[in-house]
Amino acid sequence: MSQHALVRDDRRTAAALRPRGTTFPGLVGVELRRLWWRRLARMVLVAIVLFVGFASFTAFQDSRPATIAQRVADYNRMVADMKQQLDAMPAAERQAQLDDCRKQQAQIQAQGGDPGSDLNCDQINQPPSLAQFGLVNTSRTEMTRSIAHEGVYLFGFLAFLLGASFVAAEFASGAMGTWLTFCPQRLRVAASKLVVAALGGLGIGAVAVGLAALGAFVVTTLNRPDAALHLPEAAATPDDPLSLALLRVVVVVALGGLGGAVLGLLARATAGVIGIVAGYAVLVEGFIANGVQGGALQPWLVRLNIDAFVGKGATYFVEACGPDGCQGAQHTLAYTHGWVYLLVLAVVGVAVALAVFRRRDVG
Amino acid sequence: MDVAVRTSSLRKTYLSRGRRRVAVQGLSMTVPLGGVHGFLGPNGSGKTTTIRMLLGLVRPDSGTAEVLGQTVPRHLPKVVDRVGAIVEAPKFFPSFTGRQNLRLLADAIGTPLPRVDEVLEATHLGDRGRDRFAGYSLGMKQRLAIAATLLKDPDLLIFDEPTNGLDPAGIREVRDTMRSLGAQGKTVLVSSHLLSEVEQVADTVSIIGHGSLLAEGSVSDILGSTSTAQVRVGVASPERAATILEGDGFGVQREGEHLIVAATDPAAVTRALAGHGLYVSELAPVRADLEAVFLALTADEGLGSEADREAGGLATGGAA
Repeated sequence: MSQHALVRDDRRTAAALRPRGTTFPGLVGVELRRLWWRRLARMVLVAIVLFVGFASFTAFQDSRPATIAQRVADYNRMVADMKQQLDAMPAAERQAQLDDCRKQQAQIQAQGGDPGSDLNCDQINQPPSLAQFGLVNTSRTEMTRSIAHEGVYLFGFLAFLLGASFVAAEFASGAMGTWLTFCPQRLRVAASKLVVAALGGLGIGAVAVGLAALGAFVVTTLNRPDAALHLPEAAATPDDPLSLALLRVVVVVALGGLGGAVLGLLARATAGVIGIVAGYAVLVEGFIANGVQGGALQPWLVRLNIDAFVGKGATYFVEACGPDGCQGAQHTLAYTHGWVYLLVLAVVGVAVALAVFRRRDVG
Repeated sequence: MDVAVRTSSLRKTYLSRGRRRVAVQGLSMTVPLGGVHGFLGPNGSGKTTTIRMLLGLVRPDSGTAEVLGQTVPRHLPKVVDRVGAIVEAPKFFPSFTGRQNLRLLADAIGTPLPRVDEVLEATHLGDRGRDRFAGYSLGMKQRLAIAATLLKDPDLLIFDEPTNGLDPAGIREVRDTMRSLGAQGKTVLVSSHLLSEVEQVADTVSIIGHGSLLAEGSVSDILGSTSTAQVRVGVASPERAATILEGDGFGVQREGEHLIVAATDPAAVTRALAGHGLYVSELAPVRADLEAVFLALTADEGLGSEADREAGGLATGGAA
């Protein structure tokens, strides 16, 4: 044997040296480790900490006793001004305004608008309440919900980016070919990557809502309501416990990771995936959503369905034109529509990605 | 089973700029079990595509392939633990260390972790295992790829152009490694366009051109069957000597101040020249090599021409 050879004859038996194989959960574990080793994973976590920190700081500033006291003073001044103006307005004019409002309300409903849409005509000659003016004693629960909802698209996009890069980088570096010479079962390999991208999104979502809850806890602890300020309690979101609301945020972020991996498997380049998403955002969500059929296609687009899923229903406007001209009518997209849409989208996406990866040549 | 790899009528086409380009055309080849088998052909002759098909990375349009007795890609998982491969340049995650890359692969196939350090040490990467792959030299990358194949303790090793870009020391290392593996009874399938490189290590060869098999067998058989007996003749008056020899029915080519004469009996050449008062100053048999064989095999197909060689298609140098 040559002295320069890198390989020496190993006297151990093949049974001792030969790999023992791994289960699917084992393969998922390996991919999870790879995900964690990626720098982008840590950068995403830093971005989430920064966002939640900023959102919490904004909430802190908005709920400081001094800020609240100033806003209450502004409110009182506005109410006094409004009362003075109403007193000066003739009764007939007030009645005309009320009639006009009711007429508009009837028109909206006649044009097929959301029966639940309300122009609050009875309030038209009344000053807004403290709650309507946004002056409420924000609960820890509602603040957590608010921060999580504000960040859902950012969290989802970060998970999407991580999922896309996690898969596409393998194609870009050529490591996918090496990987397949060790694990040639294409469906198993692709499925493990999709599962890990979804789990990564789940982790990102969990960290994000956890930080949101922590941020809300810190803010509400530091900014205890001042005894001198008697603000109304914020109305709790009906039929929507915080735990389920946060769970939905986490699910959307997990779907973001899964979606990124699906597109990564199809496009095989992170830049390509970003291009697809940017194109979709501009062309479909920007142009088609509002410019085609007066916005009637919105229930079939991704964004509104995410809103409907996260917020247990979402409203949108469709411009309806009649003999009297065009008017926007408010509609509601149901929660059920949202989750069914997202589920179908995820299943179809995964099926297409698996089918394509199974057949396609790998360079 | 005495065959490591067998392909039958393997065909693969690619769609390129709207046109179908044939990469492999009805290739039927056999790689015997044990030893080093050279897989030769100029660049673009279909070697890498064939290897990719054997490894399940590329799906053939038609034909069949078997690796260690199993039809691939369908039953590749049954034998994948016995097959190590490096296809073209070593490809790993560039931002991970060499050790991280190997650990992922080891975990993916259920190889115990200590084996990672063993193969790193074996390939002289023990002290560089914690460096990022992106920072490795080409030789180190090649060694890491060899280390990866050793995670499996394979019976069949497939090396695709393993010496490309390596310095002489690296080339010698890879060549000796292939020899060593072959001597251990493993089968090494090495593709290359460096004919002299393969000639030094291969026991058997398959030569392809334009995606089809041109010749196959042991190196000695290939050289023996294809070469014509030639002698190099040094003589004071080469022009006159050429005229005399051609007049006596010998095939003659000029090579500088020498003549290359097709002759099964060198004594007949000296006799013919001496009869005309010319005496040879040098007489040596021309040794047939794979390059000559390849050129002879592809002469009718326009392969392996000087132009191809200049374009990097076929090379004879590079051996350390």
